[in-house]
Amino acid sequence: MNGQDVVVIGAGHNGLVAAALLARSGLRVAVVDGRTEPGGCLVTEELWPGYLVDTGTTRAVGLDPDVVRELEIDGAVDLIRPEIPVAALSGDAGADGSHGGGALLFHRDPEVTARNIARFSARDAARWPAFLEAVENAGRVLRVLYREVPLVPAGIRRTGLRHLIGAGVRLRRVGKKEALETTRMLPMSMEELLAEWFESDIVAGSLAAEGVAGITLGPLGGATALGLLHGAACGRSPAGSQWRVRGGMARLAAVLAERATTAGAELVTGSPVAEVLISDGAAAGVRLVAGGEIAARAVLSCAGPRHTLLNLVDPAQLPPDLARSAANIRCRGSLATLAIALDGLSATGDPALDAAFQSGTTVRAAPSINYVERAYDAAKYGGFSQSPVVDATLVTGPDPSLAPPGMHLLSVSAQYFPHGALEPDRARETATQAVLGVLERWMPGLHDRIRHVGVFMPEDFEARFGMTGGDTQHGELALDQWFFMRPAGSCAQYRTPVPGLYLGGAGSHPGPGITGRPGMMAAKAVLADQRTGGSQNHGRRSRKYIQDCILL
Amino acid sequence: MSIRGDHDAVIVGGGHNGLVSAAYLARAGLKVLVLERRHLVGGAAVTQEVFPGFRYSVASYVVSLLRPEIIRDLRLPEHGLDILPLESTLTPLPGGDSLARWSDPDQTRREIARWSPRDADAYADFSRCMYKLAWALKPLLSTVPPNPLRPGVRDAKTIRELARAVRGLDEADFERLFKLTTMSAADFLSEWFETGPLIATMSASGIIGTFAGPRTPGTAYVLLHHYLGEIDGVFRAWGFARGGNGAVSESIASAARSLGAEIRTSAPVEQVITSGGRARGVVLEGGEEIGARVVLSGLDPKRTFLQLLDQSDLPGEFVKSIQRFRIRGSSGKVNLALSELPRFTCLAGAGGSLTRTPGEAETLLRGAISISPSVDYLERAYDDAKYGRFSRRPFMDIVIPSMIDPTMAPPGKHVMSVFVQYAPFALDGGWNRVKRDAFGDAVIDTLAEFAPGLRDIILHRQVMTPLDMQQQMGLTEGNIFHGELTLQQLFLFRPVTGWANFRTPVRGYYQCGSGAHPGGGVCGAPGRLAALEVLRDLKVRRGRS
Repeated sequence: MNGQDVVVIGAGHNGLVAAALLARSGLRVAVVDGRTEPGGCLVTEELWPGYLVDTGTTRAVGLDPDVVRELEIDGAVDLIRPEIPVAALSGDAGADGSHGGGALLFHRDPEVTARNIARFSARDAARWPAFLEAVENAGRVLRVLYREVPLVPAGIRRTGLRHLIGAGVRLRRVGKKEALETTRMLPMSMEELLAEWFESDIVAGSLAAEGVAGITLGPLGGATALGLLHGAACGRSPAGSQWRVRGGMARLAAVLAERATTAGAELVTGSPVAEVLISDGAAAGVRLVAGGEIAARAVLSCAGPRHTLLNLVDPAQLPPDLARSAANIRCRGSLATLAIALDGLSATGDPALDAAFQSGTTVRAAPSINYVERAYDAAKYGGFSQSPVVDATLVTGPDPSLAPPGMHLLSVSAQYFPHGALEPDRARETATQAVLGVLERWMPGLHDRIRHVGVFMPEDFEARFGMTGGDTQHGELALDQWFFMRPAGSCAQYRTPVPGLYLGGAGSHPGPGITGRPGMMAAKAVLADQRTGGSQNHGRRSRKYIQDCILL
Repeated sequence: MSIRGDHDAVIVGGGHNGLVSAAYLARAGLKVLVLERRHLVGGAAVTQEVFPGFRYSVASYVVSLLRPEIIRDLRLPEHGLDILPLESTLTPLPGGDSLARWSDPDQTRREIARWSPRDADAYADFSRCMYKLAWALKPLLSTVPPNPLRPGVRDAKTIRELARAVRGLDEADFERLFKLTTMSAADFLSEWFETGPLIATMSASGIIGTFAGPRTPGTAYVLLHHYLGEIDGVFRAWGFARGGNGAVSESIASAARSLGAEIRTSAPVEQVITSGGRARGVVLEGGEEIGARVVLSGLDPKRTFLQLLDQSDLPGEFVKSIQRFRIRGSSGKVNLALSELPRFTCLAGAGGSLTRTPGEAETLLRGAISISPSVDYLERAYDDAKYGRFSRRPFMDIVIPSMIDPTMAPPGKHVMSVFVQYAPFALDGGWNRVKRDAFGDAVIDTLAEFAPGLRDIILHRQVMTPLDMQQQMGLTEGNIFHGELTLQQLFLFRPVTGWANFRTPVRGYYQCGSGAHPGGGVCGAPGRLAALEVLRDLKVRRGRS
């Protein structure tokens, strides 16, 4: 096992993508993970006999098209893409319990969605197509940035205008007006962005929930539009496309693991890493908790950047500025997921909603922007939302294999339940009550149908997947933790100031969303350095970057 | 159509920016006329004797950002401008303790060290860092934002100069600058400090005039915007104007007049006259028409474009952009006449971990007093406003100008100026007299928690809601900055992408108010830059020595 070219820390989707690409390029690669199965949070467990539960990621999978192509994943897993991705409950699901106006069904066909919106506001319906176009344009602009290794401040400083022109030229192909408009949209709050388009509570509320999914900010918070635009850049529509993997997320993990091992990468599971070995100031391998070391010329960590830089590396080996930046990476998890086993379904009195729900549509309780903001208010002071924002999907609808015959499995993600607010048992209990309270309002009688409930709090994400603070994004997706600031200025090009140590998880550019792109781009950075003899010279890198810009 | 007069430039609105424009245009030899709706000039920077013997800076109350080049070019000190320094900020805390910051760094250091020696060190580093970043940003204040849609040669030069300024920063500072423009004030400060009250009271300058709480991303920039004023130490630019903020406006008006500008008060402009896509003059309420080669508006963007112009004069896209421009009022003002100095618990030596000497206590009353005891306190104040209520326990920034300038109040008596946030313009059910009084009561009740006995010494009370500011000062929604200082409304985007260079889609019509770059505060930069652009377009050489 010793004498690897690269050790990849973490066998999550990014780690596996990186390992597969590195191994295919002829490098000797070992992937080390503390969990017994590869896949990180792409994990499906038989939580109760006959029930297959995605106990990590339950939300959308948006694998990057380049990753899909390079690893030939197309067709390897069966993606479930409901015709109606989201059904938004109207009315104040928090206060009076009604969803009086019925549910708003966001259809994959924009025209159908517009017709559905017209029931709530003719003006909003008329604006829906243009809104989709505006968001898609912004998505296209961001995709230009996401395909690139981000320009780091050092680059801007050293190469100045030429750099900016290079970026400008590439953006210009998308459209200067679109690029500027995206720049204007990025610092906006979801509320501000949506107020420019929509007047009805339900449209704004359900879209706002999409923007703040996974972060600990409300839709009135600045730059929360980034969440929506980031989703668009990762191929998700504004209302959310809840793509799931038939048979459970672990199927995708298995495919990625197979790609890595077939290419020759060695998978070392059940072996948490204790430390990144550093010799003569450069990364030289890893030491395992169980004892034993794996020597390597390079270490690529796909674990969270905070964990990697503060826990796995001896702080004395880091420049003080980087140690401080790492400690300042905001990891504030407040997302909880629930798996609820049901022995039957009750009708809600809305046949269209019932039909959608049973075909795998995500039912969303976020009836207005203020509802979502109020849910966040509690978290702001370190408490739990009493009326949380809830996304509930009947995963057995389109995929009955996930539960015993006749039984159902409801997968719920809800926020805000901030990490560390309550002691674990009480946290689980309180969150469950809050979520069931919301669910019960549109699905009366749900309570009596429940067989089992599994709850996963931010603390569980931290304990099970090593996500610092329970933050599923490996560092909140916020403007100051985005692009060349992700995870920190000096590490934004996947290299760190420690020669031979690379970062390539969701904490790196372009960030979260099960895209595999950070892993892919990090692998390319490792490969480029291996070919050029492990250059860590910023100046040379900048020059190379200029060449790239000119060639592009 | 009979158009009277033959002015080169007519300026709508005699606020400080309009007056600055007038002075610069007159200085270049143009025939300039300023038209002010009210009976006095100054807009939101006015001093009024609201109660006999008590004079107030009714709205804007401190001088922070007034550009030194304006003070110099217009020789404002010769026209009566005298800025008295603000020496300290006191933050009373529950339980009788307090946190004070002084202009003397050593004293501040000792004070903060009471809470955390680490923060005392960090405070000095922080100040240095902000100073450096403010220096880097300072050129922006005198830069005309380029038009990114159709950049000209000059725009390219501007971009190059900005790139050079950025390159002057080292990597760590560049990152900090980026963080400042994108983070929340509370998060940004938490990266530096651990003392709760220090973070809270410093984050308060990130929310002033902004409809956002200290935990809202983007507020860190407002922090820096307020820091920009502190860097011109030689001009002692962070302080009070002797005679109140009206004296600032008066000095600019006096300079403008001495340079030949005409200023007419009680002359409300109804509309800008246009023909053939060009501004030709203005028409006053009552029908009087005044012709001019160019018209400048110092009003906020909503009024400048949607009220003074006919919408058909503007492209539809542009109108839409102005309509969505955010200008939410979030603050109010309470002006008190006091029979004696208020007694703050934290200065009386009762409770807390520290007793201040009487001398120290008096000095602190001469400075600012900030009711911002914790970030949660500020956030809760914001929560009220989010849902359409005024803060039950608001953030307050208080000064007692009569401590420094005794002419503001009768002997032995005092005026107290209380800037209050949050008071949303869009109050649930709207503002009326009852709600204004209730708002005033909330302010006094909260203040009395820190200064018991305050109620007994109040002789008069003036409460200004955002609606009052809209009605009296013509500030749309009562927004003190003519539009929120959020990243998407700054520089290139202020007020509309492509029209940040003080020009408008109507030729000969210019914007010179705070709704233009670089934004609000008694800064004067928009007025000056707009005037210089007008001169450039009219091909008038600068200055008339």
